[in-house]
Amino acid sequence: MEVADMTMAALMSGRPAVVPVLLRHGLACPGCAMAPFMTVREAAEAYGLELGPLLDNLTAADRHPALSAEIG
Amino acid sequence: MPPPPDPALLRGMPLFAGLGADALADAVGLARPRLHPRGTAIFTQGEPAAAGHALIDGRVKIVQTGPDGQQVVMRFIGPGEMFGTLAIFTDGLYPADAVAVADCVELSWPAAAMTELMDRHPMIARNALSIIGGRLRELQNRLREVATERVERRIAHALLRLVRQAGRRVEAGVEIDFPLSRQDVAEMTGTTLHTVSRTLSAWESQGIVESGRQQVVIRKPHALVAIAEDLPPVPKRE
Repeated sequence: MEVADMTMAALMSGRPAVVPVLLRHGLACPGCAMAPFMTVREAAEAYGLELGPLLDNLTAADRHPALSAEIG
Repeated sequence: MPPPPDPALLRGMPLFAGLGADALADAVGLARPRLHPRGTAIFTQGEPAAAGHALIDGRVKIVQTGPDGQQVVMRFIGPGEMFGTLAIFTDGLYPADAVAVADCVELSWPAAAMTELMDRHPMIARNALSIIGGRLRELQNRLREVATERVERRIAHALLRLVRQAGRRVEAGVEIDFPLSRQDVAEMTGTTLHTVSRTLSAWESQGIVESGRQQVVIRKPHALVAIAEDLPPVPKRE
């Protein structure tokens, strides 16, 4: 499944390295009650963020977990 | 008809997490299955706590009534959750009413059976402690909200808690899969029916929620989170 269509909860539990990136982008998804129900695409829209750059940073963090805190 | 006591009923219940097949069979062997039609009381406040309970199917509302007759919804119970169990380890009286708000199937364990099970399988006691710890934390949060937060944020938090417990993705957004009235929301947030109605109506006109007589759908999940958490407004995209 494409990252954009994963729910936030599935993304965070499958790829914990993305959590700092989400926080850097100002997303309150970690720990949020809505995370199991909203996709990455919907979250980007709700926060008024461009989907493309967000996805780039999320996949980059997932490839280099140690760097994830530096990205965003 | 009540279901036959099958150990599979207990699988997935936090109270029995991590137990082997033998222990599950032991637990289910001591359980009494019962049916409670919608609208009936499973136990009532002040009654001697005869048993620990676990819900198999349906929805239960736990309501406490104060000396002045004012009611407070303590929590809703969904399938797989335990309830009414703490009383057998405290003063032996149920602290609240448990009302079936949908047709319910529950298992209960007489107080002696429950303590015996916990002695034989300490994992059950540890699981119960972890469940109670989670509920205590939730109550601490609610207490802080009641003491410090504007009513609008309290209502938003109450809805988010229900989403966490019983949220369901639907076409229009996220539905709270409970029969939930505005009066229930008022009793969960320490406010009046009037205030809940006013708040929900305002949110409805902003397209944030949609509420029927007994059903609530959150159409703009992020907007509700933003109210609950006081998040900054989303900048307009160009």
